[in-house]
This record gives sequence, C-alpha cells and structure tokens, in this order.
Amino acid sequence: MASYPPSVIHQAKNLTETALAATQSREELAHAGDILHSSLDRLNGPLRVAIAGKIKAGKSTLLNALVGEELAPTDAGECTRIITWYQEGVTYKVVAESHGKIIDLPFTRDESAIEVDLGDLVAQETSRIIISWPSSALHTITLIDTPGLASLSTDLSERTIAFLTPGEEQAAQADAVLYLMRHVHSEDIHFLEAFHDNAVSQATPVNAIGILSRADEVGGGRLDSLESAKKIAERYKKDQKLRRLCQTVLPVAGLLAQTGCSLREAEFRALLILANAPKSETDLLLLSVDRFAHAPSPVDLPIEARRHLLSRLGLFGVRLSIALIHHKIVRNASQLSTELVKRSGLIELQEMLAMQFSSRNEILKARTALLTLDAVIEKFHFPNTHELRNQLERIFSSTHEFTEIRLLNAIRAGNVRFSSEEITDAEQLLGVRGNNIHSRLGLEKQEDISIIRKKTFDELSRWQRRAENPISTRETVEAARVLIRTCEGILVTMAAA
Amino acid sequence: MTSTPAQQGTTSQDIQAHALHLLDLTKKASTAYNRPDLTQRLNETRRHVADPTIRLMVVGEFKKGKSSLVNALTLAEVCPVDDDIATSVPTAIRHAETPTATVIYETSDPEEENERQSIPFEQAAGFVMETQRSAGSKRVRLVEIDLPSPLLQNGLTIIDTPGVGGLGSPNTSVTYGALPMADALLFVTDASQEFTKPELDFLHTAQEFCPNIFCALTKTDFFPEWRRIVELDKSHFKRAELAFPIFPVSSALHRRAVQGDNLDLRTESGYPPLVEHIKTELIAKSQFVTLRSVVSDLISVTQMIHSQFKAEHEALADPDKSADLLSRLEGTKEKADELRSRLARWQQTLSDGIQDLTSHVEFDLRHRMRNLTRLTDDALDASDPDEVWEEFSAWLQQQTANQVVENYAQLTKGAIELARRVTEHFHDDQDNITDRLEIDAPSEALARISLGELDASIRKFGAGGKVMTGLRGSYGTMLMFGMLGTYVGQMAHLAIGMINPATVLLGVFSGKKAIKDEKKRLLLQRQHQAKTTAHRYVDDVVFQVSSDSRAALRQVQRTLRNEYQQRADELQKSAQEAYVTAQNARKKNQNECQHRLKEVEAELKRINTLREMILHFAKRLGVKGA
Repeated sequence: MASYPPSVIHQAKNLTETALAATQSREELAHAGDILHSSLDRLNGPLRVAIAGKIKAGKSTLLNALVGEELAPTDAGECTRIITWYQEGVTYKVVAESHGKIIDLPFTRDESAIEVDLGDLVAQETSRIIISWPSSALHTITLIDTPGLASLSTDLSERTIAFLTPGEEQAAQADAVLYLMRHVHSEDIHFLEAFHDNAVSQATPVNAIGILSRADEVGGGRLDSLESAKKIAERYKKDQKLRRLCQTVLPVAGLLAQTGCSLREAEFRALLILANAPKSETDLLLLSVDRFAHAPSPVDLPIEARRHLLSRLGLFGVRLSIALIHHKIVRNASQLSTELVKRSGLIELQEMLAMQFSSRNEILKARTALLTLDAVIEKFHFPNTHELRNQLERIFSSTHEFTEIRLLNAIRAGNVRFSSEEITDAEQLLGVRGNNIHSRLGLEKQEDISIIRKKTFDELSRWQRRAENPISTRETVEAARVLIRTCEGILVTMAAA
Repeated sequence: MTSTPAQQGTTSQDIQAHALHLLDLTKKASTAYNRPDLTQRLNETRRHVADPTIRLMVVGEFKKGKSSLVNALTLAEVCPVDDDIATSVPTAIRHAETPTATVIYETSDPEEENERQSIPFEQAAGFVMETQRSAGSKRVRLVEIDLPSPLLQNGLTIIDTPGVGGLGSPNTSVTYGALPMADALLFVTDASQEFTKPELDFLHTAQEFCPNIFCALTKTDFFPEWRRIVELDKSHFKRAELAFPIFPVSSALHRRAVQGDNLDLRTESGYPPLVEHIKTELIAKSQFVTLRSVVSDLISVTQMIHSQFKAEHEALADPDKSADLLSRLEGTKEKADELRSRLARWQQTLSDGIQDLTSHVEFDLRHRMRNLTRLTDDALDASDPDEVWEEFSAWLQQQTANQVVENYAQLTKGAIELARRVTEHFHDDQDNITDRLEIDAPSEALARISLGELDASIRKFGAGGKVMTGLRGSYGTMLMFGMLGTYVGQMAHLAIGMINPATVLLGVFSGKKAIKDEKKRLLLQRQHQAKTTAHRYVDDVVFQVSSDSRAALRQVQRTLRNEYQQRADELQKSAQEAYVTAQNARKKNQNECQHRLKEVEAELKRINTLREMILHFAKRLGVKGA
C-alpha cells in the first residue's frame, strides 16, 4: 500500500498523449511536440534528482557517496563546469550534448573518478554530459551534478540557474533537488526561491531537501563536529524561511561518506599504525594538516601514506578513525567503513530519498509532466487548447495529492493558524515523514491493522471536530477538510487492501 | 623591515614620547611669549597624539572565523566562538589596564542619545551572539570592550563585525555603512574554498570606502589544500584588478601556541606576519601621519613666534629702515585681517562649496530613490505581494541600504575634495602674508631638508585629513553602526502587518474560475497596498538620510571653518605683534635698543634651537616611516 490513488501518473500520461496527438502533422507545433515527447520519456524514466548548491559545497562528493563509488571528479578548486547526468546504463558510455547534437566522448577511469576527454568541445557550448553507468544505485534515480552557484565565473552559475528553474516553455529539468549548503547563506535562500515555480502548485517544499554539507568541517574538525552539525541542521529545520523552501535539512559529511563506501584494507592498516603509535606523537601530527602531510615523525608511516589518508578522509576523518580504532569501537576495515558511513549522515539521507522522493516518485513526475504541459499550452496555440486546459485544471484540482502539497506549503508558509502540535501532526499526516500509511500516522511498520484503523479514525474525528468548531477560522476549516479527506483516503486504501 | 616587532614597538613609542616632549617645549615657548592662541592649538594637537584612535574593522562572510581571529590578535578570549551561532552585534575592542564591558542599546528615535549600560566583563559574550539579540525588549547595537592587550596599546581599536550574508542579511548594509569610518579593513575568508562572487563584490565596493585593506585566510590547520586556495584567491585578485595582501593563518594553532608558549607553533600559525603587517602598515603608518601633522604644527608655531622677534630685531638693528619696515608690516596686517574676514576667498569657497555639495548629495539621493521606487513598482506589479512580500521587503531593505551607502560615498568624496580646495585657497592667501612676514611655510622649511615622504603634500594633508577625522569624530564608533541600523529597524516594523490573512488561502484551496475576477480585484488591492507601504518606507529613509547628510556636512563646514579661522587668527596676531614690537622698538633710545637687541638675539637663538630640534625630529620621522 505504497501510494494511492495510483492513477495520477496515468492521467498525466494520457493527457500528454492527447496533446501530443494534436501536434501531429502540424508544422507550427513541431517544437511543442518535441517538448511533449521528452516529457513523456521522462514520465517513463527514473526520478531526476539534481544536486545543487554554492561552489565548493561538496556536490560531486555527495554524488559519489550516493552512487557508492567515485565517479565524479572532485578538487580543491572549482571543479564541475558542465552539467553532468549520471544515469543507469547497460554499458559504460559517455556522451555530450552540444547544440542539440549528441557526441560520443572517450573517457578513462583508473583508480578514481571518470576522466572525460572533451576533445574539441568547448565547455561553454556543451549543454550537458550524460554518463551512463551500470549501477544499482542509479536504477531508481538519475543524479544530476551541477556547477556551483555564486561562482566567480558568472557564466557557470547562470547555467545552473537556467537549468534548475522552470523556463518559459517547459518545467524545470529536475523533478527534485538536493540543495547543499554549508552554513545557510542568503544566496542559498534566493536560489531556493528561484527554484520554486509559482505556476500551478505554488512554491513547494515537497521536492527539495536541504543538506548541511561538509558537516565534518563545522567547528574546525573537533571530534564532536558532527554533533554540532546535527544541532545546526535542527535549527535550520525550524527556521521559517527555510521551512517554506525545503522540507527538511539533513547534515551530511560527504567526504566521510564517499570514503566510507570505498575504504580499502591498506588504508585501514595505515590508520591502525597511527592509532597504535604513542598518543603524544599522533597528537603532534594531528595538530594541523601541514604537520600531518609534511612533518617528520617517529610514527612508522611514510609521508606519502599520510598524504593519501588526508586526501581520502580529511583531517576530521583521520582524527575520527583513529579515535574509533583507539577506543576499540571498530576492529577491522569493514567495521570502520560501516561506522564512517553511519556517522556521515548518508544513511539518513538515503532513507529520506527513499521515503520522500521515491515513494512520491509518481506524484512528482506527474506534477512535472503536467507543469510542462501547462507551459506548452500557454506558449503554443493548440486546436484543442480549451479542452486541454479544462482537463489540466480538473486533474490539478481533483488529485488529492496536489491539494495535500498545497496545504503543506500553506502550513510551511505560516498561513494556517494551527497550534504547533497540530502543525506537527498535520505535516505528518500529509506525508512529511514518509508517504506510506504508517509513516503518515506516526506508527511503527509492524503495527497491527486494527491499531492503524483506530489511529486513522482518531485522526479523522480530531480534524472533523476542528472543522466543525465554530470558532475555527475559514482557512483552518479548509485545512482541516483536506486532512479529513486524507484520512478518508487512507481508510479507502486499507479497505481495498 | 629587519627589526623585530619588539624593537619596533619601542622605537615607535620612543618617537611618540619625543613628539610629546617637543610639543611641551614649544608650548612652553608659546606661553612664555604670550601667545595663548598658539598654546591652545598645541594643546589640541597634544591630545590627538597622546590618545590616538585607529580603527581596524574585521569583516567577512559569516562563520569564516572572524571572532577567533580577533581573539588571536588581542590574545584574549573576548569574542565568543561557536560552531553554529554567529556574531550578531559589532564589538569594539580597545586597550585599557582594567577590563570593562559596555553594552549600547538601540533607540527608536535617531535623535535620542543611546542608552549605555556597564556589564560584567564575563557577560559580554552573551550580548554579542545571534540568539541573545531578541532576548530583551531592547536591541543591542554595539558592545564595547576594554581590556589590556599589547597590540591595542597604540590606540588600535579592533571591531569584530557580524558576518556578511547570514540569514539576517541586512547586516551587510550596516557593515557597508560603517566602512568609511574605518582606518583599515581586515577581510576574513577561509581555506575551505576560493573566493566566491559575493566576497569579491564586497571587496570591490569596500575598496571605494576604505583605502587600507588586507585579507586573512583562516583555518589553514584544517584544510590540506590551503596553499592552492591562496594561489586561486591571488589569481582572482589579479583578474579583478585588486591587490590586497593575503595572510594565511590558523587561529587554532595560535591558541595552542599561546597556551603552551610554543614558538614553533606560533610561526606555523601564520600570525606573526599578520601582526607585523598591522603594526607597520596600519599602526606605524597612521602614527606617522599623525606625527607628520604634529611636525607641521610645530614648525608653523615656531615660525610665527620667530617672525615676531625677527621684525623687532630688524627694527632695532637698523633704525633707519624702520619706517619702511613698519609700512610693510602694516600692509601685512591688513592682508591678515582680510584673511580673517568673511569675504576671504577660502571662506567663500567653503560656504559656496558646502551649499553646492548639500544640494548635490540631496539630488543624488532623490534620484537614486526615485529609480528604486520605479523598480519596486514594476516588481510589485508583476507579482502577488502575499507570496513575495517577505523576500521583497528584505530585497528593498538591501537595495535601499546600498543606495544610501553609495550616496554617503558621494558625500565623503565631495567633502574631501572641498577640503582640498579650501586648503589650497587658504594657503595661496596665506603665502601673501607668510612671505611678507618672512615666515617659511612649513612645507618649504621641510622641503629644504628634503625628507622622502614629507613632500609638498603636507600642506594639503593638513586639512584633508582633518576633515576625515572630523567626520569620523562626529560619528564615532557608536554611530558607525547606528546610522544604517536605524533604517533597517524601521523596515522590520513595516514588514509586519502587511499580509492580509483573509485573502491568503483563497488561492490555496480553490481552483475554480468563478472567483477569478474577485481574485484579480483583491490582487490589485494588495499590490496597491504593498506599493504604498514601499513608498512610505523609501520616503522615510530619504527624509532621515537627507537630514543626516545635512548634519554631517554642517559638521564638515564647522570643522574646516574653525580650523582655518584659528589659523587666520594666529597669523593676524603674529602680524599684529610684529607691527607693535617694531613700533615700540622705534621709540626706544640707543641704550635700551642695544640692551633689547641682545635680548631679542638670545630669544631668536633659542627659537632657532627649538626649530633645529623639530627639523631634526622630522628628519628622523621621515626615515623611520618610509
């Protein structure tokens, strides 16, 4: 009983096909046809998730961590210059799209990231690179790496913004976005605002997750850095401005996650040497990166090995690993690997992705397709514009999921006068903590069906009382009615199951 | 510089002591020769030398380690450092033997005196942090901290500012607004990444307001690639045609070094070169500038006393020519009277200039605000205020603040240019008198001993520098952060109560066409309401800013007029004295003449000795400061 009713994606498909049929054999609608074609392809493909943020927010590192292997190249300087798609493929293949043409690109990959040979292609003229890679992680999600915002080469930032924000004739290219921030900067807020289209379903925190990236760098890499990062994320989560822009904020230490996924035995042995050396000696080495990477030391680990560790884990990662080994929390490479990934916050992010984006996958995709269609009708003159528009409006107003999204946005924008307890429960019921029934009701997975039913009835009568309360304001009544409808929907789904 | 910081410190203090000594000697002379006007001038100069204020503003994006840097510089844990919560109130740190802390609260009325409150030193940190800000009913505008610190001993005030670009973004404009008051700007970035566009944009603007900028790149202990980042930053500077020095530092290592008294760590922390730069490029230079004006004052005072005796000496030594001399001196006296009168050219230049500048600045402000209003109207016409009001009001605040700051820059530039012109005219007229009195203008006296840096600009410097000091003095550290803060506060009030909740949800729940017209009408109404609110805000700002600019310009006028009026009075008095003494000399008999001549010669010798000492000092200063 994942989601209900399942038909919205079919409705979106049907309507898009109807519109597409109207474009056939009409010269002036050829371009519209192209757009609708790709929209249809998109409905059938996996969810597209873009990773965006200011420069050096750690976008490529996070992408690697999510894929579970090092694909995207990372660097200390500004690195990603072309929008790059990572999608599942049968074989390893890299192509570039330039002026509407698809060009095969040679590439190499040794120990680390993929190196693409751009050949004669100029970065500015390449609209995107598509990397097809056999990977289970890419099966349900296509990841899109973007050049950083607030870059000094304005050109790059502009491309990212153009890519992520809806254009005149089509919806944004990504269905959802992971927005990486270090500390929340006003630039970040502006960007998130721009990403939110105001057209049909208004600004929506549903398709954006904020990520407090490089969480290991908070507080200069002290051992409790990740704890601090968690606290900061908690605070951002409650921030009014951010609440209306993204549904939650999670701390993630990208480098830790990336290396944790691919930790090698030799690396563990090197860390073991450091952990077993006299504490005074390792402390001196861990004082600064310069000491760790250059200073002579009686610790029996060659400088090259130290440098390698530093580049893979960062100073915080090294400090943390040594502490973990020292306190016997981990005893071998695989334990350390697991521990690093766990502490990096990657698992929470993956769960969130599965819970939020994947379970809402169809709604999000349908929404994108309908928005695209809306924009196309607006721009081109279809013979059956009137009918299409009516259909579109019917779907938008009759699909309860969209209403839920709208209510969620209204709550997030502070437009619904609920008590704070009511807000938490209403948001949960609307699927903020997961779209399946038990998450919506705040129950454990294995709960008995009778308990689920009882809880649903409790919620139902609670919101009914709220709706009928004579002192409730009109907007509160409207909001409560949406929640009533949600409860009824749950009961219907359960009955059907 | 090959000397160590320690040696440097003693010599610079030594020089200061020497300057004070010379000042006292000259003051004694001016009192002895019955010139209270000159004594008064020297008193003012002495105050300035003994208690200098050099303001160093520490600016940067938030969470870049500004407060840690300030702590490292002052060798005290004075600014609170937190992983999450950022500094939200500017903190001014000065030297004092006993540590004290004062909180200054915001007032709603800009005319009103701000409320000050002494607080226990340990509590100061709490007032500086983001969270504490809204705790009380009153908002804290500035925290002043006095504590013993070696670096601050020479009058350096370090100002830790709230980070630029945080969630409470109007901070940025407050920081911009304070820039012209700073003697130097320490821009803080960190080793985690190269410069971003907002950072470089900030530096570009800052350059216009503050001539002395340098950068610190923090957290070098943590980011392995910090050398790459420094290189990248330098190349960004090159492309942007900026040339500020960058000092890579690690506050964490510095802290360790201080705790364990470890010299190696101190070197590794990168702090010594930064501290050295502050000492030589900021403290020593501004001391040099102060001392340069001291020398200029001393020379002109001794010259004036000298001129008196010289006239008497001439009259006594050659009684036959005394008639000539007298008529020459009388002419000079008239010239000096003219210089004092309202009709003098410098007076005209000053009063016309101020009037022109006032209307220019006001026009500039109105022009800017008119354009801004047009922009806001267009923006509001194209959107629904319900949805965008919060972002819009933040944007409007930012834009308004930017425009006010740009306008303020016009004022500063205009005032300095005016001061230059007035000075020029005054000196042209003054030369007429000084030549006749055979007083060497200080610049010429100094030119003769040809000191590298003490060039002809000294005469221009005198007033230009004084204007800035006047402006800064009149605003003070307090008002640095006050002026714009007030406007930002006002806007925050306006932002509340704008949204009409009854209309909000209409759009949320109904997709029906039936109420479309009604929606449209409501939208128009909201747009109208939003526009009126925006206009009122801009109007209020224009009103407030133009009254502030007028006050600032009046201050400039007063400073310049008093300064030169005093000079003119002094010159007039010198001319008068010279005339009277020469006249008296004529009346004396042979015996008296001889006797007096000896006395006068002795006095002249004394004054010459004093002058020699001053010139010698100037020479030393020229060599040291270069």
